[in-house]
Amino acid sequence: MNENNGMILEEQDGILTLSMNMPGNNLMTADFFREYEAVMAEIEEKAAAGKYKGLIIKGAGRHFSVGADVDALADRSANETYDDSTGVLPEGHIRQKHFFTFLRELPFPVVSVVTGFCIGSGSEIAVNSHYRMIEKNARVGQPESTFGILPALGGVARTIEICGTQNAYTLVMSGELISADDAFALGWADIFADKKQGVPEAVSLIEYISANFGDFAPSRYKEYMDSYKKSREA
Amino acid sequence: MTITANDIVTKVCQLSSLYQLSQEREQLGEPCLLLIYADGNTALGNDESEKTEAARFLREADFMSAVVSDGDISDELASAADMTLKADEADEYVAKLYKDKTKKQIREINACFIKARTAPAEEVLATESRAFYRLMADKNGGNSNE
Repeated sequence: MNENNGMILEEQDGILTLSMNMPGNNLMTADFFREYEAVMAEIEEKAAAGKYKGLIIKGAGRHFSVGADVDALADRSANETYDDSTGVLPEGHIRQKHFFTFLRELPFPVVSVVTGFCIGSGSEIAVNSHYRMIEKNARVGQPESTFGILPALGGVARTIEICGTQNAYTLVMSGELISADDAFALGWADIFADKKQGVPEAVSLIEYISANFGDFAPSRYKEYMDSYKKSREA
Repeated sequence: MTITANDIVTKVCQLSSLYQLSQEREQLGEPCLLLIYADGNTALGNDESEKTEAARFLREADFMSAVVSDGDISDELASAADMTLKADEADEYVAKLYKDKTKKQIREINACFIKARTAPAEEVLATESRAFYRLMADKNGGNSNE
């Protein structure tokens, strides 16, 4: 397993766990994206070759991710070629976006355990996951609009899917950060967990899906969560 | 029907049905958000034909829409618009949403939500990417990534 950089990928009992351990509370610099894309390529290979029950994504420290360095983002995009007359997107963007959005198509449940700050592109990792476990200290949001841009790694499309039009519009357009309670109330988070309970909750969900549904069908991910919640209430 | 508009928001009051909107499109201007003030007497349309036309008009509109009311409104009215707002919260909500944003930025973000009304997620994902590069070009000084 990959343990020699800021992205620590481990496996236990058929469950992959990615702990993001990059500098600045997982500030998404060029270095972050390079490491992130490398570890996601490794996960993509494992998904194709092996049998895993699920993937948990979390911050190694207190925070999930504080999001992108906007200045670095501006520098990078200034060096990319985008011709609006053709609509053909830069290859670098297509590759980067793939390693966010492909999470939704993986053949096992992907669960983000959200702690501390989960902001901007960090939040986009979470919303591209099938499920989000949020711990009560967390704050989440898509503040890109306050910098004159918008989320472009799935942050708009997935938030609409998860939270509905009105809640997503409020989150994306206002750019405000919201508490864990609000994120859960809006449907952004699937499970509200006490501190340090996000990972056990994620393992519990993955084991439930594996035991009750066998092969994971990505298109049925909401159905699995509904079933899991009913089983907890019983 | 009374219409008041600024560059970003158009407010429509005293309308008997949302069908009227489709018949007076030019008076609505080019808003980012249409606020439709409704009450218990406001209908989607007077018959099925008008209801269908009103729903189509809002579904295909190039702006976001919200039904604003003091009390409960019918499900068909609520589902025709993108959002529903309480009358005493609408102005504050709009101010919070659009604070410090240009009309171009609002329209680029709106485009994703408008696409999502009818298109699959893949198309919304592409829309947000292209909007990002258009806005980032402005941020970088106009044409630096075109």
